Amino acid sequence: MAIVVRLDVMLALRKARSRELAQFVGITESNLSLLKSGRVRGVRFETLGRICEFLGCQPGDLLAYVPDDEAADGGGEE
Amino acid sequence: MRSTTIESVTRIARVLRLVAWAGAAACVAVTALAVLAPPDASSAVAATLSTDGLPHAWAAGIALAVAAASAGALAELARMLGRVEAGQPFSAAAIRHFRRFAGLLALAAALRVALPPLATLAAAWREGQHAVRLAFDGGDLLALLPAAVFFLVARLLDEAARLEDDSRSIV
Repeated sequence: MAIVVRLDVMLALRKARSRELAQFVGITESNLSLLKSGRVRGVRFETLGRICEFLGCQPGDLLAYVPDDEAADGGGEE
Repeated sequence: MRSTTIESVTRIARVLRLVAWAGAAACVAVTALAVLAPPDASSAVAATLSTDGLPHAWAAGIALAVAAASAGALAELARMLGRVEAGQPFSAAAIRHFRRFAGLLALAAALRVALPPLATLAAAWREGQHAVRLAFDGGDLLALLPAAVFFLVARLLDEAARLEDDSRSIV
């Protein structure tokens, strides 16, 4: 997958809990877990906006583009 | 708003499911009554088998085949509506039942169109006749059209199921 979700990183940086975020956004914890692991086909702008509001960040802080060949090499931007 | 629509669809599906089951049962019962009851039976409720010059056994066989296909189609429709009632209108099972409904409906229409002339031809050949008069009912031929449309609807349901799957995996 070329798009990597960095929600877990932002949650750790903000020291926020998944349960609180899920409650604030209005989605289930299982859906949030799927989003964190990148096992979803898309994110609604509404969901993205609520996450950014809760974490005080930009969409770009949550999503990153990693070319497939880099991901296969185990590299990435970090 | 959406929950009201779903409740309305569920209620309609429940009524239609009961109607479909009743229709399937009535289809079999009336045909069985017509086939089994003696032609000169005098009772309050009677069903008559129209033979159109065919031997009674052949006409009964055709009627039973058409009734079985029609009842099967209605039963499949009822099962599909049961899935709609359970809140799974685009599930694989619902679409499978709908496709079977369309198939059996097409089969019933095809049997109604094809079997009587074929039986008439067979009867004429058996009796050594060289000329035979065949009659086709336009209404029966027209009944093939809805069946074809239902197959198209089944394809559309496949697409709807794909879209629902997409929607479910978007958070």
